[in-house]
Amino acid sequence: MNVTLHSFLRHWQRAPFQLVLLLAGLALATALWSAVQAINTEARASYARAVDELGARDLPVLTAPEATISLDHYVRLRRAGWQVSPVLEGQWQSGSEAVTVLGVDPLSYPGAPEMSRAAEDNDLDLLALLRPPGVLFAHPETLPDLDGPYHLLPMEQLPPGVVLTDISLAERLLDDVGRLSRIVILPDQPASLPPLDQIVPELQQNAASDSAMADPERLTRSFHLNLTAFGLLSFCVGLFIVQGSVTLSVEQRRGSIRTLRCLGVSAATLMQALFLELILLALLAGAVGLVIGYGLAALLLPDVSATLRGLYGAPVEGSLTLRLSWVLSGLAMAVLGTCIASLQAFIALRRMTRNLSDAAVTRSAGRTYAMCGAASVLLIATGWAALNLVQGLLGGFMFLAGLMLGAALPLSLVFYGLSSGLLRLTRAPLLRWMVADSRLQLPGLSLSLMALLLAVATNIGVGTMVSSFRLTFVEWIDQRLAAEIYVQVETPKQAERVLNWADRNGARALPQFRSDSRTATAPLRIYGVVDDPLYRDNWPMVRGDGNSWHRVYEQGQVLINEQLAHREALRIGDEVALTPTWTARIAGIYSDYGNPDGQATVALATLQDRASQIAVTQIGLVSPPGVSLGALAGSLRRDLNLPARAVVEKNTVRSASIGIFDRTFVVTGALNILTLAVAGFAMLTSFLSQWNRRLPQLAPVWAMGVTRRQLAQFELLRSLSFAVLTFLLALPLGLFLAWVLLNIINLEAFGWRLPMFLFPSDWGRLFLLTGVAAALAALVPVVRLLRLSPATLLGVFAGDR
Amino acid sequence: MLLSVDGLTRCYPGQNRNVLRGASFDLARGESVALTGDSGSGKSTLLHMLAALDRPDGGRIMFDGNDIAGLTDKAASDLRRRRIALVFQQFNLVPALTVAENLALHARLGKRYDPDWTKELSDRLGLSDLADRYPEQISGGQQQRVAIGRALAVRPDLLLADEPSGNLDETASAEVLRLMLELVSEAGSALFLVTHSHDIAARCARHLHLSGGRVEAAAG
Amino acid sequence: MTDRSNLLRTLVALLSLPTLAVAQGYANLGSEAEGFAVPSPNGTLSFPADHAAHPDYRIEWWYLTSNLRTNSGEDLGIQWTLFRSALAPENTAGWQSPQVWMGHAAVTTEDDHLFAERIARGGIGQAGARTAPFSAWIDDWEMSSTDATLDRLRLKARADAFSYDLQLNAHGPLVLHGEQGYSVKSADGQASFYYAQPAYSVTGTVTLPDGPVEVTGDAWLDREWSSQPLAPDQDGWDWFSLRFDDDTKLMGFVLRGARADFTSGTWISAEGEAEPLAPGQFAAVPQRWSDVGGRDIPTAWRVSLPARDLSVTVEALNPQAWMGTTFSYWEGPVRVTGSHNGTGYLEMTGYDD
Repeated sequence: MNVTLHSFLRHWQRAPFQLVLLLAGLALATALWSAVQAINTEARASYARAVDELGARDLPVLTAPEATISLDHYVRLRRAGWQVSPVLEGQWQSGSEAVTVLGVDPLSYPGAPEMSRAAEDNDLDLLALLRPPGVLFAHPETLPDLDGPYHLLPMEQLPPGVVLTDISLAERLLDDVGRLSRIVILPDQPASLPPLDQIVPELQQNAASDSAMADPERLTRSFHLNLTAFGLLSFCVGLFIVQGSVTLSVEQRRGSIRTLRCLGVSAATLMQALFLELILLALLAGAVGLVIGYGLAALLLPDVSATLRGLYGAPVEGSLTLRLSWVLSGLAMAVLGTCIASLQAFIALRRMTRNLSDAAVTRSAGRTYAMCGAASVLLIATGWAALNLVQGLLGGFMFLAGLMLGAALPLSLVFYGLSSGLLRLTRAPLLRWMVADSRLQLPGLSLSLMALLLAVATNIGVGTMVSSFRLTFVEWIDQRLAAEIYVQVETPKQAERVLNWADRNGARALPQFRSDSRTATAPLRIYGVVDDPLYRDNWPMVRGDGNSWHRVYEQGQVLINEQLAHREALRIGDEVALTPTWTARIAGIYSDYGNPDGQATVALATLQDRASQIAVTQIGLVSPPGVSLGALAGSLRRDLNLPARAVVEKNTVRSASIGIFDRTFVVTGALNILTLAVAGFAMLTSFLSQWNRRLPQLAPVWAMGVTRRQLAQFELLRSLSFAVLTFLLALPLGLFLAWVLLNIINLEAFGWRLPMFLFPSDWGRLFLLTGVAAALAALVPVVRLLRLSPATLLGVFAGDR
Repeated sequence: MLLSVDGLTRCYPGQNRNVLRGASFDLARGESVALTGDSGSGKSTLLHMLAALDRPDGGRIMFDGNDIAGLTDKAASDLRRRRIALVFQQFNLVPALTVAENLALHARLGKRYDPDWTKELSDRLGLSDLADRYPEQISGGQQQRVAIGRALAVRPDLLLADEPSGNLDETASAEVLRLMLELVSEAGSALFLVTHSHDIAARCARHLHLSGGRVEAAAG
Repeated sequence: MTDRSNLLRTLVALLSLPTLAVAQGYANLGSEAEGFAVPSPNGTLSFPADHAAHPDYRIEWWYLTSNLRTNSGEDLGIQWTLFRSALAPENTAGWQSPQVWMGHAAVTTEDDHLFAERIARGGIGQAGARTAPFSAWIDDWEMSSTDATLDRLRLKARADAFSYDLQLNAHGPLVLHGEQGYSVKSADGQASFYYAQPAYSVTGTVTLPDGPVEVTGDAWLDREWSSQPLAPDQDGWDWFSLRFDDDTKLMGFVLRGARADFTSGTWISAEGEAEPLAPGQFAAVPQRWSDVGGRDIPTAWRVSLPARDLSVTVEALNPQAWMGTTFSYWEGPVRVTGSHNGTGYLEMTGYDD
């Protein structure tokens, strides 16, 4: 066995470049996969930490939708034996910034250990948590916005804009004594407690709390699923490289294998040797891949966490932790991937050990192609079934996987048909030979061409989705930001002052009154708006007609956002329960991108009539004719002595929103390019692995007077033609992928459907990029051909090969 | 004189022994000449030089009045496309193409394709039934017949053959040679045949022997 | 309870007398009382007012232990303790209150030991102690009376694995430890106010994992409050409350110090007359050690009081009666044999390191 393995490994000494290719392919595949995994794991770990440590998030809560919770409710529950923890939440104006204050009792709050730890880390006496002046915990980004005679401590796990503190201090900050926002029901309860509705019938139990700290895992699930899908795709593409290299290495060792067999080495031993060799290589490459993947993840993570923080407010630390589980799963993936990719090599070796004579090139490609076709149909059908049978996002992704693989499989069949058709059309001898020769190469090239197809299609699909989303988003934000200036207000009194000021200065005011409620399953925010033509003209409706607003203002009907409509399967004319006592008819459905929760909009009068707790946080202003925005904003700040950040012009909000959007997809773009690079690499490997078989194919043509330069040109042309054809086939696939992403995946993930736009200039760029990749992949064989000595070519004809 | 070889010398890199030490001979149009010699005597090297596939260290190779020893790659390729055809011991055929396509390929490349002549060659070589087969689907003897047909389809001035029947058994070998000699004269081509077999050489009009790096007329 | 909260540990460090040694080292507190009231030998206790909380003292507790027997004759013990700790000598209402409360409850049988813990902020009504009528409570754990005295109490506690609901009837007077309730805790003069009701007869129900059982037996209530820590070198104590068959009782404790152990106690006659023991009169020597979760704990003692010709062996009913609460200690029922026979409770602290 040792001898066999040794003689197997000696092969690589003679073919160092091939070894590098194999290791590089495997390492790349592992790197991309594990980078994505590292990012996901890190993000999830951050959420988990936040959830565990600041923890009330997954615990059920008691709320009072129609009234306030008094301290007495809490004490009643406690005196009845229920283990509960109080939370007081509210808006606090700290200096120029408004932040959300979360007041908790550190003696019972599930996140208390994190508070203690943060205090200890900052050498603060733990008792200071409970005693004046008190301690405020906030995300490091939020700390500078806070002031006051308090201990200010950083806590990474908190979302920006949230301040965690003892409930006694929260009462003073919020000037709200003896009241609670909600009561968290702790996990461990004594036996045989009296039921909640006997103790506090006014309170309502909810499955999970909605609050300043909504569960980031829920919000970001689709984002991570996207990343995972990308990582897996890259891994598959990388495996095509491995497949090519390993199969080639076995082919090249035909001689040694024959000799070893003659020396009495059993077929089983040979198989074992190959297996051992592959495991060794997989571990080596996997290790290298992990190092690269770690670097890549560290490089991308700051962007990802910026994205997650910006888009979802989800707390993700910008630094990476090395986890043993990550290392092990990366190596396992490399080994497993190598084994899958080496199946063909094992089959080849088995055939060789059974039949020592050179197997004839099989021209029974027809059967293989037919099987490909059947598998393809099966895959697409399975995907389709998954879409219909498996609920939600997972079904969508299974459909995508089936579709993509199913579309890639018959690629050789398509190419075979195309080349056969071309052969029938052309008589030019050299062209005929080129086409026929390319057709002969198809079995060896098909896998890497599939990889290229997948990479290009994904590029087009994801690119189209992102660009369509962006276009829609920008248009939407322009419509949605109907007013020209937005004023943040904290109190009804402040709102009153702004409204009066606007009246005096001839500016139209669009105050946003709101009331928070919930549906059976999720939070629901209800807005009350004044009757203004800006709404009637601009509001971005998905479904509705000219009468929608009329029905809202005149008949007390409601507009709901697309998410809510999708989640609850609501249509225009349906009734929706806005609060336990308030049901309204739906007059229209509007788009509301970037918001995970349900939203409803009613006339202000209706809201004031029906909702109990109304807050106003924002007032939009439209400047009177002839007054510039800057002037209006300036005099508003001056007259009412408002902090700069409380008065924001439309364009500032717009560019900030678009900035967040763009950051979200930075990672997607990077992965797109990497995948394409890997596909190009796969092509290079295929070309190189065919090299030795190429010589007997090229030598006769050369002997007939076709120069090596012509052969090299042909080689380049062939690579480019394959790339072009693949691109042309990938284009419709990519567009279909985009359609699926926009209409199925997005709908499941976010609850909104997006229109699809086409971006031909992007395709042009990608086309060029694909060409460059193909040209680069052909470069090594082309250069080799140009440098090929006649003696080498002549050697084909003579000697005992 | 179609071919006039004068004082060819050739030294293999890394060996201080000259394989060719002033080999000289002539070949007339339509003439068939066999070259024999021991293994490693430089037979194949000499043949490659005649096809402008290899260059001599010294001496001249006049082909139809032009020295081909110093041709550019392009000019040499052009020569091979139209005027000099080759048949080797093995791997003569293009695996991607059918028998019929292989037969026509060289002539088409050299723009000397004559369908009638090609058809006749195909018939005479007994390949008509194999037209749509691929090289690996026919026997070794059949493959060599395709190679010969392909070379002669060009109606080359010179057919260079290097052990064309070296891989075949005796019967097949004799048949291939017979056809080749017959068709070469019909095509009006000259034949330069390299072989280790004196029996085969004897069937050519003239028999040369390469020994000690020089070409001499073979005894008998 | 893994790392439940360092804050809780710190708070607890202020709560129980044994841990005052820990609190001692606590930078902010120092060894003096910082505005808190300090027990003085001239102070006199007054009832029922002193049954309620003393928020101007730093620490205080209502400590009840009971030796019970089930209908089927099995021995068990229960513990019910309410601790109060003040972060500042104030008694503001609402969340601002600096008072923090902690409850411990346990049931100990020969082969099982169940315990639970409750923590609460003062000022909001979740926990407290008041008179007229008397009640001391945290969440739904409660020791209550229908009048201002401690003569007839109802005692309730409930956790996920056990609960109990007991009726206690005193058949003797309150006992003031030390000098009229002024109890000295070290040779340096650290002291507390300390009284007890050692003579309750008990009936009621204890619910174990297997179901409820009817019980009868005896109980002993200790009340103590102070603001001062132990002497700097004292790192734990062993406290005995023993009830003999002739209805006499003995409370004795050993404060283990680096320089010397400090022992004290009270002899209580059958009629309830208290006789304070001078330091050194009471002696307790470990006789057998048990491995309790990796710690070496003395679970059998030789207790002697030569002045009363008392020499007994005190053995734990269940040597594994470890209170794995935020601050942990050993507390469990004991059997007494020797010159006197009876039952009682043993508390041992400072063994958890």
